[in-house]
Order: sequence, then structure tokens, then C-alpha cells
Amino acid sequence: MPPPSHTLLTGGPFSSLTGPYYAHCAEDGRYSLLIRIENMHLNRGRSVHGGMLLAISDNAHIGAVKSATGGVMLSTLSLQCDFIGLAGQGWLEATAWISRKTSALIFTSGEIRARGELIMTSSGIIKLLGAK
Amino acid sequence: MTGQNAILALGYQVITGSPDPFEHIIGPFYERRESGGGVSYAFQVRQEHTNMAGIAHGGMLMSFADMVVAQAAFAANGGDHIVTLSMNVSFLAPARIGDLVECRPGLIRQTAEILFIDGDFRAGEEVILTVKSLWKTIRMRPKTVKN
Repeated sequence: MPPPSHTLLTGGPFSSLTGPYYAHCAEDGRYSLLIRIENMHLNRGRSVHGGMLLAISDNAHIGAVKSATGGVMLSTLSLQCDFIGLAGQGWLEATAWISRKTSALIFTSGEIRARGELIMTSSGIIKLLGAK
Repeated sequence: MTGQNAILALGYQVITGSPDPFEHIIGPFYERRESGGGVSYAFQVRQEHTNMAGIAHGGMLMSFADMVVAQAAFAANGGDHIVTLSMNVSFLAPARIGDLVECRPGLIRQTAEILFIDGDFRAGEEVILTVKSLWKTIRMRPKTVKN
């Protein structure tokens, strides 16, 4: 089970299909997403599928921005992900944080770790819809 | 665009028997060998692919994109092992339920160890997502036997 600090993420049908995810946003804005990797998330090499790592990163970046902006509608413009390590079954933690915020754009950074080991680093650009 | 028959009528075949468990969860995916060379890939956005805004989740689009450029990298590397180094994804427009998202990935450059694969993903005529990716080829070393 995830630590009591994290609560179940309600993120729509795709997150239900690939989850469950557990989320927590620290007071400093650092957003943490936990997911337990099961057989269904793996590739032929018995590692987490690259697409799944990308989906986790996307959820973490969006989560960090949603936590900071409340109910504003968002649209991801760009996500750049580097595949640094492999992970098998077990808990993964994705963290994401805001690097810079303008009136219409938010620049995000993030990483995924398995048992402390770095698996992926990422950076994103997210547009606030309706912002000037 | 409605239903699998309409997709098959476009010349696509269902990709069956993927050795990746994750692709059975988020699929089905389709492929079509092009007469001019290369392969096109497609998937139809369904309700379970959507986010809270009711459009295709960015993670779903990237998962499909990862599969597509991986197929191109596998083919370029003669089916030998490869690993993803990086994916640079730009989201140009949303994909909606019922949309057929299609891509014919291209090999941009190949060195002894690195493959550069790009893809433009379309829903109808509209480009909704672009990918630039880097892949590393893996040579399986024969196991050494200790005497």
C-alpha cells in the first residue's frame, strides 16, 4: 500500500485503465505520484513499457501544474523524456515541479525513480487555457 | 470513422500477439504496409483512452507513439534489441473519441549505435502530435564460458 500521505488520483478513464495512481503535493509544490508496476505495465523485456513511463510522466507534470493552478484548463504543448534506467515490477515514484511560470505557460521538470534509482528525467511546457 | 470494419477497409490489419503485455491493455493497434515502402500504424480513440476533459489522454498518445517509433527502430535494426534513449513529443491538437490516429514513422539517420526516428501523427488531415526519438542499438554479447 502507498504511504498515508498519498491519496488515490481521480484522473479519468485512461488513468483508471493504467493505474491506480496515488498522489501527494508537498508544501513546496513538489508533486509526487506513486504507482505499483504490475505485469500489465511491462514490455517483452519484463521492464516497464516505455509508453507507460511516458504516461506516468505526463500525469506527474499535469498534476504539478493542477496543484499550483487549481481548476484551470490545461493543455500539454511539449514533453521531453529521457530514458535513463530500467525498472521491473514494484513501486515507482514520479515527481514533478514547476521551473518557471508565465501568464500563459508553465515550464515543468520531473523525474521517475524506482527504489531511489533514476529511471527517467523529463521537462514539459504546459499551456494554461483561457489565460491571456 | 466508426468501428473496426471501417479501419480494416482502409487496408489496415490488427496487430495481434504483441509480446508486450502493456500493449494488450491499451490496444488494439493496426498496421498497413505501404506500397511506397514503410509501414503506417493506427489506433482509434475509445472512451478508455480519454482524460477528464473527454479527449485522448496525452499519456495514451505518447504510449501509441512509443510503440510506433519502436516498430520503425526495430525494423531499421533488423529486429535486434533496442532501447529508447529519448522521446521529444509536441502536442499540436487534441484527438477525440472515434478519431483514427495514424502515423508512418521515418528513419532519419542511423549510426552504428544510434537510430533517429521521427513521426507525424494525424487525425484525418490534421497533425495532432509530432515525435522525435533517439534509440540505442543493443548488441547481445555471446556468453563467455569460464574454464
